[in-house]
Amino acid sequence: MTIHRKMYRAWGLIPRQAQRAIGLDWSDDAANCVCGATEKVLAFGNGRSYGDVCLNQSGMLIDTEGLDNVLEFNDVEGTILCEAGVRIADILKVVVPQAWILPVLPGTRYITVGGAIANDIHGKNHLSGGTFGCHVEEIILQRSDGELLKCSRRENKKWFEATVGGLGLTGLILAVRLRLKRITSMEMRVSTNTFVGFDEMLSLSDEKRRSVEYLVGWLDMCGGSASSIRGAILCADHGPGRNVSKPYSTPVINVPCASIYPLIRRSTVGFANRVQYMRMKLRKSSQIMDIYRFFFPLDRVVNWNGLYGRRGLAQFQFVVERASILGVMDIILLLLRRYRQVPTMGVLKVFGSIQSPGLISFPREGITVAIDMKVDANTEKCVVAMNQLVAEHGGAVYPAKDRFMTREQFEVFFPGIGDFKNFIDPGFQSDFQKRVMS
Amino acid sequence: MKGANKIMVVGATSAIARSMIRSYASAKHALFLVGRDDSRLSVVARDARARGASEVSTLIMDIEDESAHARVVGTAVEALGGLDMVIVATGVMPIQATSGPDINNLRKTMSVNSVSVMIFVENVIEFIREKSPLTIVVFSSVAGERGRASNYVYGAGKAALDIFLQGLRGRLRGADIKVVTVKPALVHSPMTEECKKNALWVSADEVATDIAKCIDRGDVVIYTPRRWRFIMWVVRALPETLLHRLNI
Repeated sequence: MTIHRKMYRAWGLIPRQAQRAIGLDWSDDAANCVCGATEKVLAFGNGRSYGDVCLNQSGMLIDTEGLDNVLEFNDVEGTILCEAGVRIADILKVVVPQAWILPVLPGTRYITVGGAIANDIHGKNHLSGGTFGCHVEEIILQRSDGELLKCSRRENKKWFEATVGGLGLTGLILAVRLRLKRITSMEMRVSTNTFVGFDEMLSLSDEKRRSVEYLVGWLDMCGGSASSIRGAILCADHGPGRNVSKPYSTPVINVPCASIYPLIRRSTVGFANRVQYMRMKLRKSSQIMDIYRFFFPLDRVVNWNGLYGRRGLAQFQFVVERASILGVMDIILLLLRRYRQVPTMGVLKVFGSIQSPGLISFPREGITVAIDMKVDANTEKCVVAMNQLVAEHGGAVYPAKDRFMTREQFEVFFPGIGDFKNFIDPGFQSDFQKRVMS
Repeated sequence: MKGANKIMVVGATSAIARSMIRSYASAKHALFLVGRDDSRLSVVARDARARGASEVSTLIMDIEDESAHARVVGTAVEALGGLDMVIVATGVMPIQATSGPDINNLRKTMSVNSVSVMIFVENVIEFIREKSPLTIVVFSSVAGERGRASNYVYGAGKAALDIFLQGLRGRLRGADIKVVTVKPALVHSPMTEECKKNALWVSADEVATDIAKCIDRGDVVIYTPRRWRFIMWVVRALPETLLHRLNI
């Protein structure tokens, strides 16, 4: 195993320089890799986190791309055991033809299982499905002191709870056993309802949330005030067909590198959002979509972050109680206007009361909104101000998307941090951890 | 993949072989996997089984061990109930020092990459003896097309293999045994970890998909990625002084 230098970047297109890394291709090299390292390490999956949770510029990364073996698939009981570098896309290729699916699916299938656990990702069905960590049965964790821990709700329980949502800081996740969900079809029955005004959207989501499994809102925030936010609520359930063998959909466009001239800018965003809103309006109110198109619409454009140009993008994702969301959104729009930020789009989901096992897991009951924006000189000030607003309303900001939160804000968002720090592996670190935990 | 569904892979833990094994497993073919490392081979086998292979068996063998060749082929035929395809993906690529190769390295590279593979292929043909149609796919490399200062020992081994396989195709004209030479170019893998990389490098998955398509099409010499057929045509045409001056 040799140390190499390569551009390992987060989805927000940071950093701009190469990082030192060691390639881990076989799990039998893991102990050597982790225990023999002369500097602090962090596992790197597929770099779909937006901020610095996946970066370790003053240490070394462990590139887990090669840890991509599926070890066991029990298609009778619906469980899968796989190495941490296996991607959601690979799991779906294996399990969907046998009429199984992951119970929680994020917005892109190109993340690793290790990354999914480290960030305790959520999907469009938190109300009924909880987080990814709710469906993890077992984690095999390699620690830098040589210990190989089998963590589950029955064995090494505290380690399990620290590792779910633990941002990769408790050790190297080597393998994971996941519980799957039965499906009968690759089809989704999807209904689309457009709205004008954030309060209309909230009433729509209140009305629909109990009767559908999946709910997501797309927001066009270019209007500048809560009453001018428009967009669409998409509600979906599995079924109705019986076909699970439709071919895997392939990407349509590949953005080869960060565009020198950012194609996403103030002048183009408004137009693009108007077009998207019209497309949503023209959709039949109820239609059939295949699972790839419903769950992963952006995967059709590979490396779409390149459209933001070299400075990249930031995403601000927060959660607050349902009662506070309207007031918070009003102020957020004010802040975006004050700092002249261009909110490309917003995505809204509803979080229910299902508790994640993770000690510092992000999802909690309320409404979560994720706002994409192009990075410029004022983005940091704007995001720090928005973080402060969320902290004052007792909410939280998602570390997987963050670049700018302060230590004080982090401690407010995640009161479990005191307990979690006992489980941080001394051989591991991340840029995010150095920024907010030390 | 059309037709063949009983496949033996020698060097099953190599990166491109693993990608090919995965697609054959998803297509529910029966696999017999051979390699040197027991624990890694069993991980590859577990992966193939989980992805849907109808049958997966493994056996440990070092390609340099000629006495094991016949036994391995015999065991594969018995385990799978026949054999439609043999893929030979073994190989080592020691880093060649700028001052010239280490003589032990040279001897080892030629033995593993060249002589042992030739002997193995002959042993497979001898064992099968035209009992049934067979496709033998052997991994060579574009490195065998010119002697480049940076990698000429590895290149020499592959060049010898290319000529051998070409001659074998001539000898087997009319027989039901097809011999396919695969020439990967710049592929990311543990074997090429230490090489300096650039935009021309591709993943093992892309190359594996390419190879499977070309085998189905009936190609006997496969350059992968395909554009390298043209690139190597140009490289082959370069006068030697220019080849060395360019230091490619």
